[in-house]
Amino acid sequence: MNFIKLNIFYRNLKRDKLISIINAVGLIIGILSALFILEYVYYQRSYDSHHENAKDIYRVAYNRYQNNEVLWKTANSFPPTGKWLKEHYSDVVNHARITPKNEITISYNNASGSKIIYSEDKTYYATSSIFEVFTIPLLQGEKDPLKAPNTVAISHLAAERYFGEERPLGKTIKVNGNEDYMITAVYKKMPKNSIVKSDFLFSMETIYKQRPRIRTSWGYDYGSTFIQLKPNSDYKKLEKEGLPEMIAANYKERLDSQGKRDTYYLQPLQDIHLTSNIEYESEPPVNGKIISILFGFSIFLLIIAWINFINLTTARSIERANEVGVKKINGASKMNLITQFLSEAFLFNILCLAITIVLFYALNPWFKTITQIGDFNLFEHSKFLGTFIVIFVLGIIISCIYPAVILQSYKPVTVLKGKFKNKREGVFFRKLLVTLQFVISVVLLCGTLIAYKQATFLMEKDMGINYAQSIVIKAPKTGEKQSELQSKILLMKDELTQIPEVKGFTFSSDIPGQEIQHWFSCRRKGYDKTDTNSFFQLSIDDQFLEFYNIKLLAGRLFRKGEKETGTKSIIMNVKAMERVGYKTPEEAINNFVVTGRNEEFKIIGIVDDFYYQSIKNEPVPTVLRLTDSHKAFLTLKVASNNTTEIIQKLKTIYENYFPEQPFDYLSLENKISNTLKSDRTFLFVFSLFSILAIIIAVIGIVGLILITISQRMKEIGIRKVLGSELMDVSKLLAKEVASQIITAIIIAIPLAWYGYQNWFLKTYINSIELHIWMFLVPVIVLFIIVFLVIHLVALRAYQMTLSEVLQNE
Amino acid sequence: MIQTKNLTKIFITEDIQTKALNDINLHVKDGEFIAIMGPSGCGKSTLLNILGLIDIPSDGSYMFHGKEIGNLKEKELTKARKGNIGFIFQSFNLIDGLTVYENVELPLMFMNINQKERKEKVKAVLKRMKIDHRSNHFPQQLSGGQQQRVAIARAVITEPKLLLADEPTGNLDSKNGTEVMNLLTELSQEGATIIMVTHSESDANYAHRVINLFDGKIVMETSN
Repeated sequence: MNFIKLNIFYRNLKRDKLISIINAVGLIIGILSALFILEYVYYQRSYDSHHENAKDIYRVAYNRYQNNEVLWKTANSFPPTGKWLKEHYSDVVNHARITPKNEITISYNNASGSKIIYSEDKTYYATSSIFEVFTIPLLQGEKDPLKAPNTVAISHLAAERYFGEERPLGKTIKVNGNEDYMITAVYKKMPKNSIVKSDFLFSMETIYKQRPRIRTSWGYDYGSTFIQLKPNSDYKKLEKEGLPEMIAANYKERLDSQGKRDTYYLQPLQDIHLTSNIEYESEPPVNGKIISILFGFSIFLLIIAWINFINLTTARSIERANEVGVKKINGASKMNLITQFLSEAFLFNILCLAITIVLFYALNPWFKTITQIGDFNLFEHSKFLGTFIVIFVLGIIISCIYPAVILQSYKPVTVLKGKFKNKREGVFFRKLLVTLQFVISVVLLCGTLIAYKQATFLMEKDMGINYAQSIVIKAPKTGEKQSELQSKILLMKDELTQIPEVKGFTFSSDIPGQEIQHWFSCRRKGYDKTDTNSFFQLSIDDQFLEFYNIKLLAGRLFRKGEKETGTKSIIMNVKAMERVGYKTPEEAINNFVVTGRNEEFKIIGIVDDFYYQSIKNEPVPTVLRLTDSHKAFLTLKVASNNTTEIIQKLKTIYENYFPEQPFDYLSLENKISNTLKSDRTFLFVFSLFSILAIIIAVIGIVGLILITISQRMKEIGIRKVLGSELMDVSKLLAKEVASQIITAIIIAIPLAWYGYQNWFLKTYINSIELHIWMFLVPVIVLFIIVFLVIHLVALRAYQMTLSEVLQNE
Repeated sequence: MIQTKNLTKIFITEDIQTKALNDINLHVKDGEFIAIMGPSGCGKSTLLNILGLIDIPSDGSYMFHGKEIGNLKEKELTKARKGNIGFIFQSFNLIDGLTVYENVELPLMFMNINQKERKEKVKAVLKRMKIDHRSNHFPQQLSGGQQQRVAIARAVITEPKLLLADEPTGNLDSKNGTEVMNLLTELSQEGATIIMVTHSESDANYAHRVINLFDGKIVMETSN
């Protein structure tokens, strides 16, 4: 491209600034929004792709049925699973197992004698093979760092947190004040986009040393097994043959005698994040269908942006027809003209792309904060970069060639005689594209409203528990004897409840907003052992049910001061009651259940089902026991708006009793609100996408209207001379797109209704009902936007110099 | 009807100023038929456009029916034009997508006249212009003379006070040209005020008065 052509390019941009700006804005918004959406999509799809063996790693999961009714679908599996499969199937080359070790405190006494102590939310026990199956680069330490009991591998972030400049290898940390672990390795921090990530990996051998039977147990399944297959192995074959054989060889007989059966399956590691939503997921899953829809839309958005560019460029071509005519008469060849227009369009695209990339990087921190996609870099993602280059090169070439070919095709004689008109050919095609743009806009706009209503619905829906104004303090883990610690906590409780703003208190094993971590197995008294079933167990105090305002359906609550002694009592929710085999609460009351150790428990009350983990997870069969074991959370109801002041008061009292323990607290409202974080992020991405799609669709409309105006400028002039007012011109132009918009609405509403009902709302266990107004409101909004835009474009046309237009023959 | 005082129009491009009209003082009485003549670029059409309220003067005064309109805004100009001024162009300026009937009906629609009345008026004017048998045809299906008759029909349908014709016979053969001039004469005799721009001496002879322009100035006025 030589200087003269650059000059002409600049002059052409300047000649019609508005159109150049609209064209650039359309292209930039289109590419920019597509890039952001793709960043979100690729981040979600990039989960666990960093492992060298990613394609060959599978999680073993299973469903348990009784009389064809699902008892549970779990990501857990039995400890010997991996070993058995490796020994019996040559395709299995390695296996690793992790078991959560949640809500712990870790302390270290450093060289200067001070104690460093933190609460750690999510850690795991793991087999040493985790470093072979997964790609977790070791920075310090030897192979097989977790082969011995009471050893731990830590991330380099944890090493900095606890040890600063000190070398961590060989040092000992204390967990919950009474478990010692020696550091045998330091690994590089695990990426955010991984389903298994933790700063601490404790040796699985520790559990096996404490409870040797677990190593070979086909009854205790707490923990997930990952297997690594030979490259290109047929995992479906293993699923079909190997897994049923594993059950048959190890515990089928026992299951059969209980009328139960298990179905195992393998989950490809990279698919888990987007496709799996079962019990004991290590991460809250994301709806893969929605991610696929977003991906499709982003590509469509990109195409539409280029189509708008083509439309606007060809719409302007009428103004350059004369230039083409004169150039042709003066000897310009087809190729000369194509090269000129192609290079102009190409330069325009490259300029827009450059601005887009600058904007993308400038806005990326903000986008990443909102979507919480960490330090993921779209352009460093190998799969994306290839796709990006192909799509953009193709897009730019095609979008540049079409206007260039159209422009050079004008016949000089026609143009110079003044009989030139913009071709009607292709008008149908352009109208079709505008219709498609509107279908997408209506679908997205309806989606935004529906996603908003759904998110609000989830946030406002009664979970069956009242968690308002609740502050949770994590119970100290001092390593003292449970009974001693318990009495200290109770003493502290007395003091805490003296604070006037504290209106309630409860001490429990689990808190709402997370999965219940404890179980209870029992059967109805008088029934066979084979009828034993598993339930989630909440260890609570006598205040718990009242504190959370859980509805009692029959029987009674625990009495104040009641202890689990003598005849032990339990309370169940309806789901648990049904699993035990009672039909009504009244029928269950005062009956007994028996545990595996033949302990009897009297059912003294039945409470309504409640959503404990989140409103998005079904209530689970839960048994509530009045026991001190596993209690980990002190929850206080606080009637004050000055949270900071209250927290300070609580902290002071806590530190009086437990000076060396970290004071970790959280607001239950925030915690539960966090369970809907992914829904809010999706809503945000969707809303942003909708707004951008609408802007692009509106630019499409502007393009179409400008084409109309360029063809009908004289008619508009004549009408104006004859008395037509601005509104008449707007109506005339609106008629041009009315049929496309109406067609789009007729197509979009049923499509949106069906789509959102089946692909979006069905993924929730609690969802809103769709109403026609949810579709009509967006349509009306769109109508108003479109008409306003048309009116503005009409105003520009209406302000023409009549004398020039009418005499321009 | 029309009184201009020192009417001036200057066209400004990036660095050139062109004085298209220079101190035009013109008085047109009701019912007068005036021809404006002069060489190309002398300002004839500019004057006609200003008189027809489709362009605005840079300076001077323009009184139309006793009302100063030199400083009116776009919306007010449209209002002042509506129904009061009829236009006849050299190139007819009919809308291709509308039939003869619809083209003629258009000004009445902008005046919000009801359909029944519109129909009567359009039928009558088409009959008068002897083009009623072509009312359902599109402009491209008509000869030049017929198209100009449609344009005249459209110009007179609102019974405007002023009829402006910009070289109305410029695109017509002599036979059709004569027919158009006869029609304008008839309208003039019926009381219409007509201002016509023309290059043709013979067309100018139909007018009561001929004004000659040169370099944006009135250089001569003759009465027929």
